[in-house]
Amino acid sequence: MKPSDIVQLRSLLARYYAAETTPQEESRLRELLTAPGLPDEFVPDREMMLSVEAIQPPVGFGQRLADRIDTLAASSASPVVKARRRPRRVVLLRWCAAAAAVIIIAVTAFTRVPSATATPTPLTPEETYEQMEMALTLFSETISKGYAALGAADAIDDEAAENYSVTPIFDNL
Amino acid sequence: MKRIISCIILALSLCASAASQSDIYKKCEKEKSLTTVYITRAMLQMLPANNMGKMDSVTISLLRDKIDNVLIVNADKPKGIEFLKNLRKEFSNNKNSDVLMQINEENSEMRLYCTPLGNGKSQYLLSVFGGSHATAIVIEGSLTLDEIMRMTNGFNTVSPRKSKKKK
Repeated sequence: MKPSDIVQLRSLLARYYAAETTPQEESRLRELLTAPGLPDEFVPDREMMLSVEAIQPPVGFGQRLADRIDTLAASSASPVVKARRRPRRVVLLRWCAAAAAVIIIAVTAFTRVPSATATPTPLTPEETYEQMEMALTLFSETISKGYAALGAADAIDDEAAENYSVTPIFDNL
Repeated sequence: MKRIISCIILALSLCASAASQSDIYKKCEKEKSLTTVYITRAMLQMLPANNMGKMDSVTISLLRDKIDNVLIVNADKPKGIEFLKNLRKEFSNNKNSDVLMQINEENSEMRLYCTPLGNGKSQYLLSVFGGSHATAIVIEGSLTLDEIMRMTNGFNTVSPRKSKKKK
């Protein structure tokens, strides 16, 4: 192996380990490493490169990987949205439940808790009697007025019936 | 989510409407321009059995046994009179309520309503509007109209019907 080849080999190896080589440079590196007369110091590099090449991914792996990535990228929107929506729905439901509870408590408080002005003064039996007497008197007066009007109408009917006399039309004939 | 929210709103509106319809007594109590007297069944049970004044023992026994509660509301202020007019309007708009009697005089207007409450119970409202004063009496209980007539005839009136029968 020429010294110029050795210099080139060193340069290519440095670029190879830095993952900066092109496919053409890797092909040239493979040629140099497999050339007869390779110095012993480059033997480990040759074994390593041949080992790496021996474990090349299966045929079509790259395409399948790209397809898989595309598929995941296309469907990635909905899981993310779902993952976000579910907590938002739960939070909204909790807010609704809390609002409903507050409204129910407020309605209950307003309707059930007696206000200071609504505190009734207890009546004695005598006062109850007086109030009931007044109430029934009012009922009585109203119903009496109604019946009085009805009675007056009945009286008019009776008078009309008494004064009404049937004149036989054919008697004068 | 929409269904849940609409169910909650529906339930709340039903609760609110039920609460608004259930108790006219509390409505009246909240109105400061009214004078209200609320007599419960327990209070009526404490009435003495023997007659104290106009009411005879049969009337008192009907009061004690047949009436659940009585609300007497008086209004002297325009706001209170307006409130009682609205209360009467609620009764007249209620499909279950019947107008038993309506008397319009020169300065007064009287109406008697009856609303069946179920289980043989009824609610009677007598509203009297006269000039600058209004009174509403609400009686609830298992009273029939005949029993009301018996109570009211029991102490000061003679109905024209009876006088006609005497003829």
